Amino acid sequence: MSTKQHNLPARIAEIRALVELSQAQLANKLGVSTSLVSHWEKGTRTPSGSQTLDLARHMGVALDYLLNAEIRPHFQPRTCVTSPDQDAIDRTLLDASMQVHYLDTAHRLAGKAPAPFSLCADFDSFDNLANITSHLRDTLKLNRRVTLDELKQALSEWNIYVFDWQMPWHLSGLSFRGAFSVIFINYKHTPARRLFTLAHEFAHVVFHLGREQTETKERMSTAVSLASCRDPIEKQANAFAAELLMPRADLEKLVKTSDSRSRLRDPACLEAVAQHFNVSRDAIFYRLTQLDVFRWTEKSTYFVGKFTPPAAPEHRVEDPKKIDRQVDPRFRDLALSLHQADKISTGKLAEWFFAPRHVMEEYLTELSSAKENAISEGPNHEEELAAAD
Amino acid sequence: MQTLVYDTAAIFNFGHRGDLALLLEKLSKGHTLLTTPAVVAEITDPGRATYYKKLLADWFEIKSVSAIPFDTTTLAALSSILDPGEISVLMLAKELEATAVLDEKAARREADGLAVKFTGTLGLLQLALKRKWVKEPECLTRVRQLCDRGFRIPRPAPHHTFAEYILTVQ
Repeated sequence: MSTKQHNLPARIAEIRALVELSQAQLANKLGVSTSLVSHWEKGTRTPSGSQTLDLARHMGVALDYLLNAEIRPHFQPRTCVTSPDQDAIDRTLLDASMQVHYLDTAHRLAGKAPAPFSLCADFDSFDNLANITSHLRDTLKLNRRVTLDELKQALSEWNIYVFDWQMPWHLSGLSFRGAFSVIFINYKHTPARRLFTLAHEFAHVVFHLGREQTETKERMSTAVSLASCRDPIEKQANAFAAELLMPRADLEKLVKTSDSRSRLRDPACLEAVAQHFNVSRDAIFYRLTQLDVFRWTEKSTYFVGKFTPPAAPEHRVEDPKKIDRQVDPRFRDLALSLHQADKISTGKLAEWFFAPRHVMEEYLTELSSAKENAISEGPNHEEELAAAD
Repeated sequence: MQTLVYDTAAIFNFGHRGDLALLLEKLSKGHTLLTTPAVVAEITDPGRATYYKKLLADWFEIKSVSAIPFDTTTLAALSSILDPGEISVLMLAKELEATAVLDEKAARREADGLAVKFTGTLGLLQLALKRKWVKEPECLTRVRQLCDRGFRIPRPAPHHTFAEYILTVQ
């Protein structure tokens, strides 16, 4: 594989900024002078092999990412975040940037170019949203009621990679649009919530990413969606997801009589409607407030009890039995084919899947025994031939 | 005395996959058995933490790389296909002019390109057989056990002698 050593100064500077370390802070961690870090970033001095290893370790990135990453998206929330899981959120955002690099590397090692996502739409007004959503629903060949697997499949057919990662609770989803497109959703959330997040992130990819922002004139390539965010583009993405999963016209039919409106106020009925649309009770409640079935102030009547978020996960993927659900299937197959051809090692595969090594080993053992069983349980052609004789 | 630097896959093969601690004991009499902190960091299974803590303490010395024998270009190439454990094993073996114990083909190919001496679990089983530390049926039993427990090598056929089997693997 070709290397891009000539880019190392820029890489160091850019990744240092990505992990929000000053030159002095990085120098302090490495036990070198600030001026040496400055020289590395200007290219007037080159770090030794061991300094390069230390650089990667102290910046919290894989050596591969430091030395080889050509695509280094900066996942950054547009609004200021305060969360007790801030470090875990920062770690996840960096992992997402590395996952994008691993996707790029996998394609390069396989000699394939990743296909870009080609759809774009303008979010011109909330009034026209039903029309745009209907058009996109038809383009993606989606029904009016969609499941998580159906939406994942549809996005896969349009070259969007979807990773169902374990992430800190307050992080709902992430998206990237560049030479290829990637969406991350939080596996810790319920399937109903993940479906909404996936639709929400898809809205970012279609409406917001890869185009110049009116206010900043900067091209946005990433979006970070956090719970309870008031950002205008988050509102647009929420509105699209709501219309895609709970079409307003369908809901209007449902609430057209006063009898049906009053029945919806029964929590059991609300739950049934939420299940009908494969969304959470929160999502259907908010949607129905737009149709004046509920008032915002009634929220506490329907959602009682205090929720304590679970601890932030250590790994993005922790269970060998869940790898097939959590890792995008097209990336998984590409990575496994490279591993099968001995182009990458098992440890590298674990790194690419963000899974601990023993989880990867268990997954591969199960995969190979499943293959052996499939072979031994397959049709016995020798018997067929003997019968034909 | 020869020095062997073990990678993660080889430690797994001598550990829970192959139960080859007896062979480690024999090897340790004529060899220095090393591994690296990066390899130890890859042994993450909480269910086997005590087992590997003891195995590493009993037979291995954990040694860090003191000088990086490769330039940044080589490091970049290695890091795109190997994990940090494998890279550290290649570096330490190169630095000490030792033999890397590698069971991943991608790592063995890179070792070859970097003129790092290497062997693997099967190579060390061959050595054990040659030195009469183990008998041939025992060797083949262990290889079948390794296959069952996730070492990606061809399974010996029922009629194979160990020597015949090794020829098929090569």
